[in-house]
Amino acid sequence: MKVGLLDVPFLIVIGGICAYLYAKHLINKNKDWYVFLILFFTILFWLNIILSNSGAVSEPWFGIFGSVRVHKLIGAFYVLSYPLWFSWGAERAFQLFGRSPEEEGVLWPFTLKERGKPFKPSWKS
Amino acid sequence: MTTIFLDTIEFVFYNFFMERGRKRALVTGACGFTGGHMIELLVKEGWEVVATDLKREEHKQYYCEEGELHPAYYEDIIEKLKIEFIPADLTKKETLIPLFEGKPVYDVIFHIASLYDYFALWDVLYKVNVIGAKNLAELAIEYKVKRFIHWSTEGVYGEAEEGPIDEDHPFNPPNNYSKSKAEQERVLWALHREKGLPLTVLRPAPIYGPRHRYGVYHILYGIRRIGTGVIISWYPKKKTLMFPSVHVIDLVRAALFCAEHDETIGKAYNVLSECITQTEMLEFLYDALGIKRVVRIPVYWPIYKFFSKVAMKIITALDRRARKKGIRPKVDVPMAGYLTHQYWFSNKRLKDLGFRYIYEDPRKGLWDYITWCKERGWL
Repeated sequence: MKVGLLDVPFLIVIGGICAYLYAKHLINKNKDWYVFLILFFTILFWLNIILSNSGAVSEPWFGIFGSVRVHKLIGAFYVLSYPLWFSWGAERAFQLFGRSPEEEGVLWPFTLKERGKPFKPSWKS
Repeated sequence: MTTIFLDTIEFVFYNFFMERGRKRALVTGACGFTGGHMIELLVKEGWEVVATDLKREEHKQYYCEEGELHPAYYEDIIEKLKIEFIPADLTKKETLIPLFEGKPVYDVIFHIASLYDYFALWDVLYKVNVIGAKNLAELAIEYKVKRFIHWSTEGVYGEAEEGPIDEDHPFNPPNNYSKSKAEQERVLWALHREKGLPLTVLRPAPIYGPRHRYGVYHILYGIRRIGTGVIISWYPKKKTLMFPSVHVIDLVRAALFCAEHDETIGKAYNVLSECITQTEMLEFLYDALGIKRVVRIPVYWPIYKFFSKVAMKIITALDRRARKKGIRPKVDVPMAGYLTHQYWFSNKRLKDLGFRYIYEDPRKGLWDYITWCKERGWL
């Protein structure tokens, strides 16, 4: 079974970028954007594996990023773990930059300017 | 006719007997966070209150930055309570004289005014906290004020090798603000011994409560801004750090309690709720602030000390950078110190005297305070 050599690092980085965009912008438009993104990228990466292994294309990512042949069982586990790697990258970004426009993550105490948006009043009785 | 007669009798009785029986208090720092609560309590308890503080425009000069979070100035409370307000500057003795001259003798002075700013320079802290307190205390002696209740801080003790620390523990203040408060106490105790100042000193732990925006608030604000929680479990367990705090309502009640008990003259009192561990406190705060993702890290004590030193160095470097740019850092260096050192105090002396805390468990008070802040979009 052919799998992309750099799929996992890519998914971690993409997960991180998506988490940042979601926390700072997309969450205000629709809270489900995070699910849309994880589904979109997971399906995209899976599609790439399906196409390359079915012979529709010769190599994953057209051979640009390299590939490796592994046992079917290992390959299946590897490919099925894609959404977890995306989430792992996203979680690290959430911790670094925060989970909402008001939050600034663990970087907050180490920066001088306030970049987060004001908190909205809540728990009003 | 009968009603008018009874009303007149009531009016005469109230003005000639009740008004005369009312105790008189002077409250300094009345526009600040604690001062505002003190005057509210005194008015509620039927005291005649004279409030003093800097004028709003003068107030700004003592703070390094006028931000959204700091400093607090609540003159609207004085307007609402309709009490007498005489502006004065503690550092200029001549401005304090109108507080005393031609006025009946005060039963109590609640000296709350202080420059509570970890970012402030030593010269300014000394001028406001030490010289200011001395000026006021000298006038209190001159005008024969009956009681002088003074606000100090738990910070004067420094770190606890063995806790909890009681009021007889020697001073070892860890930062400029606490050093200025320790010096302030030394000056006032000298006046007590040499000139009979009827002094009682309160040493509150970090204070929180409605309208509070500096100190404990910054911990809550920081947690909310960071959005991810970290709970550290220390090993060995005996090294677990404590979290001292007091609700402002308990603090002003304690001040009034001391004012009403003459046996408190010449004594100091720690004022704080029961200390709970930082781990317990953080678990509670994350929960109360809705921080869902919490990372738990068990740490061996020497490793924790090493990393806390590294963190302190980073925060100190940021502080220097901020000063060069003329702005304030997010975390004042001494504030970070409170989270990396052992501060553990005893409230036994005040409790033995009969004082009972409303917020014995700080979590109860913090829950109320967090709710108050959330309603206003502060957290």
